[in-house]
Amino acid sequence: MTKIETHVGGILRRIHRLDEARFGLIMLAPTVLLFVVLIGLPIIYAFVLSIHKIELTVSPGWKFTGLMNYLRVITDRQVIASAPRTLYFAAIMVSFTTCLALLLALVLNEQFSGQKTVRALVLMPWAVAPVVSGVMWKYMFHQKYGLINAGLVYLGVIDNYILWFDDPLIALTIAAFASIWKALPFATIIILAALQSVPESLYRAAKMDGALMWDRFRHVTAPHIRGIMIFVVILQIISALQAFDMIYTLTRGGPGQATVMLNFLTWVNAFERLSIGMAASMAITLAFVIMLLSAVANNFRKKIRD
Amino acid sequence: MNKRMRAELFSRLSIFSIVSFFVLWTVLPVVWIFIMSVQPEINYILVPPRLRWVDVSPRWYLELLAQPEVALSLFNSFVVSISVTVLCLVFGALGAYPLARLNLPGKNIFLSLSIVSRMIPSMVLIIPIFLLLRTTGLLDTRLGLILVYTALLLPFVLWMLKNFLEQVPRGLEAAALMDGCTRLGALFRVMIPAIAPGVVATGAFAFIGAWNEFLFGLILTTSHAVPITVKLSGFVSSTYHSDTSIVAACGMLAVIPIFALLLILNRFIVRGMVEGMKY
Repeated sequence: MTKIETHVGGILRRIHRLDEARFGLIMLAPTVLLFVVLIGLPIIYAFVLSIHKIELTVSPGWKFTGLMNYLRVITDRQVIASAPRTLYFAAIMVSFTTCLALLLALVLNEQFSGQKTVRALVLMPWAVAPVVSGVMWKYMFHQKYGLINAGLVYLGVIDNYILWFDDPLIALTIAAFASIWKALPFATIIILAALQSVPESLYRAAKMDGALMWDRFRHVTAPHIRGIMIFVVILQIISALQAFDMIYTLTRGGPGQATVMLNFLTWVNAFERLSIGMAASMAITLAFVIMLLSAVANNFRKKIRD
Repeated sequence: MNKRMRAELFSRLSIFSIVSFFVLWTVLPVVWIFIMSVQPEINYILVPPRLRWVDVSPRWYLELLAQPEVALSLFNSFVVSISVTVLCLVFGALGAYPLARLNLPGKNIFLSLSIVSRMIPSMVLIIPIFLLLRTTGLLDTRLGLILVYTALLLPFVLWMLKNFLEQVPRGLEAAALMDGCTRLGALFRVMIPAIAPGVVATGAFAFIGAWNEFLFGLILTTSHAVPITVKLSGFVSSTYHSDTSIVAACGMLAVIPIFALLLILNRFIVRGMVEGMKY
């Protein structure tokens, strides 16, 4: 054995002889180190930023302002303007994703030929980067080379190409549907897993009693998946509140400010207006909202498991 | 036709139409961008588009890959994603074992903190991490991205591996220890192989997460370490690009490796999605 090998061997033996707690802590050390440096410290630092007035376009200086930035978060004109957009976007995304995912999961839970292929295929958007899905939907609705325009003209519905992204509400709706496209597979898989855990005997008993499809769904399936559905809803709300990547390539906030939602506004504040303090307080406010929602979601998950 | 047959036919038909709708909805955006990426712009800018087989060409992919910046960004994405996957699995396995099996002081606090860190939006971390990397000279380096992505993905990886390790029978581990394995040996020679499908799923998640990441890549890189997602966003927003087919091809390049992964590991990934949610 070379010198290095005996050395490494010695260390390994020494690790092996440690008591359980020390051994465990050594194993966790790299993870803890990364967490502290790249997540823990940044969170603290973000909080420090959020209680200072930092406008880098004006001056490089920091001025302590206490919680003034947080007050600005709820009174800022831009924030107030982007709140209804965020709500509209979230409402469409959450309701459609949840309903479509339930429908798709119910269908995928049935036996039909090609079922496995379909299951694999509909998973695709989950793995697509949000930035790329933004590009894909941009080209679906593009005014010059969009498939939607081409299709509608082909079918004779419209005569001239429509400028979809020029209308604020339509642009926001397209953004919501691009998010639904991306979010649907994950929601479906979670619901499908819940459906598959419904005991087969319950269905058989319901069939014996002559229950129709709708009755079976209402009395057997629904009670079983109620918890997971609420969980899916909250998960969608959380991801809707954080929409950023996809917006960046789809509309970049336009037309005008029409698709600038809260998280996108945080980015604008941080990296375009360089209002660092304001951006930090917006991000931290969002973090609190998300943690609150996650705590609620977690409760529902735990209830289903027990 | 009796009543039962009609009901059967009706349910077949409705399943068929619902499935067709979802397949089209899933596939169309991908197919369209793919068509755009192999056709000259003039063909799909016409009203109505005139797509022709004879015009199909890989030209735009070749043109893209010939651009040193694009080739570099693909290389960056591969290097970063593979390194992140390896680091996540190694640190994750080391960390998940004591969390799954040993009595540690403060274990529950650590577990709750790691859940909380999974919920922190990237926007909170981005400015401080930018400053941290600037101070340490890691801005615009692959190493910087690797460290940041690993830290971001590790809480998730840790939980997944912990959930999988908890399913390994204790007897298996005890037997390995009796046979003279060290605890580390038992972990890497017996327990990790026993949960191999779970490890594969976890690794795929880490790879996809790193490959698809955008916000940190956008802020933390400028030229040397730019990943493909950021490169793509640059193509989209630049106003004077000459050819849309090139942008479409770049979009395809950004998803092809991920689709390949999904195709190969589909079975593992679906199970992983379900298991990974449990915490």
